[in-house]
Amino acid sequence: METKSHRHRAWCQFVPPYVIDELVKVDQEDIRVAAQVTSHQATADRASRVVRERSRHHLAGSVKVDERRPDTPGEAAREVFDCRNQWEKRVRIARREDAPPTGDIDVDSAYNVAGAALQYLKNEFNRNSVDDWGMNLGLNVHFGVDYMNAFWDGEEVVFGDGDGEIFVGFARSPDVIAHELGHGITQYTANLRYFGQAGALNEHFSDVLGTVVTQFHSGETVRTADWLIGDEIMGPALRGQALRSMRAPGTAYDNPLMGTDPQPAHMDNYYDGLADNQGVHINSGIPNRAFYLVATELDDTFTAGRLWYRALQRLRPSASFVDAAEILVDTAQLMTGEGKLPTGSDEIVTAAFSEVGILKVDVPPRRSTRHRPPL
Amino acid sequence: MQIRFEMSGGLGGALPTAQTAYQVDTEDLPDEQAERLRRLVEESRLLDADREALTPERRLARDVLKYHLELTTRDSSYHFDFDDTNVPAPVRPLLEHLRVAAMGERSDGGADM
Repeated sequence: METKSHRHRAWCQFVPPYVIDELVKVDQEDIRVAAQVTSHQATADRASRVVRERSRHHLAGSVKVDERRPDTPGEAAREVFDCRNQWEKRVRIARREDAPPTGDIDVDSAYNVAGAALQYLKNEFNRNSVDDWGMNLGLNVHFGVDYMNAFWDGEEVVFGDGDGEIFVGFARSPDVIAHELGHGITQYTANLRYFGQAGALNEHFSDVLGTVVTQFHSGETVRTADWLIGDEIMGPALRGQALRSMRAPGTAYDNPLMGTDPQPAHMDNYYDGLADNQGVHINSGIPNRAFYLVATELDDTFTAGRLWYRALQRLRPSASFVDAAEILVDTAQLMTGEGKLPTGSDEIVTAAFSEVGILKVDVPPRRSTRHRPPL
Repeated sequence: MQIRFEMSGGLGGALPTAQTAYQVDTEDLPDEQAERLRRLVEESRLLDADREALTPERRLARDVLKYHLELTTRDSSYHFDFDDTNVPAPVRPLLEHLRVAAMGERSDGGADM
């Protein structure tokens, strides 16, 4: 029999552990999965080099870094498109910058939260949009039919409506909107690979941005925030649950439709299977918990956000959890020296990453006056 | 025709709503369902696809859903991998049909591979 492969590219095929188990039983599929994983890694390496080169030149002030990039920074205008339940982007412009509300919840939510994200980036980091070059934000809502997902496509964001039962409109969640924009920011800074620990860090930084933008947008604080990601998209049957919990990874959901939240909160429960690009959305729970601990100890999510953003710009694309933790500690020391973080912040970061098992450091318990609910 | 479909990825990572699979042989389906599936495959034009004509993936895409499809006829076996950034429009109805079938099988308690 002739076999024709139209695998014209190098995406990894991601399958959950129970599927992997079945594959191993029945044939040689496990070999195929492993081969694709290797192929994906090579592709990620090439993409990382290209974008990191671009970022490096960008940071260095080089003028010509990308043929597509305009010579002068843009205005970071928002453009919300209604895909009208077609499987295409940009079907119809629904709201441009400075246009009044449309009455479409998803359109207006995407517009408002993206505006909050832009304002947050400008206020906190003097960053001009996702690429720090004023790129417009393309936001596509009502994508597809019953589409239960949202994604960053490398240039803009796409949101589905969900099926109305398990999930409702993904553009109604500030966490989700900012999370996807966070992927853009990471792409234009560290460009973390999307595989293994670097991929989990990629997801982690998006969850951090989702969290800080949501708190900024809603006026929440470290103490009043729910620390959930995606709670707004849960359908009627699952209200009160969420996709992820920064405070207590592994507790965001537990129901017959979705199963049990697989996120670990500690390295002892690190997921080392192949599914989910080697657990990029699973193991992100571990640094997520560390961020929550640091924000709580500093008693300010935004101070922790500034530390994380500064560290993001120092990470290499293949960074591991330990790399990230060490750079965060070092960055905390730098920022403390600059008077931008309170004295002892590096100890707080060290303690947090020790508590989740990433750093193996004996840290004397800090006498905290902060209220911190147990895991 | 044997059809094997897998979906994975997405914002939720390992959510069962995004990680699903379905395998079917049209010979085992009632005539009407088999004909509908064969028509979707034909309209997808995948069996005639020129690999160079397929849109390349966006390597920097994140949180996208991924689709793996295997079509086995008497003469040939065809393998395809897509994600949300490069599914050809004529292929979408086929993927949606298979996704719904997979989810239905899952809710009936029989979803595995």
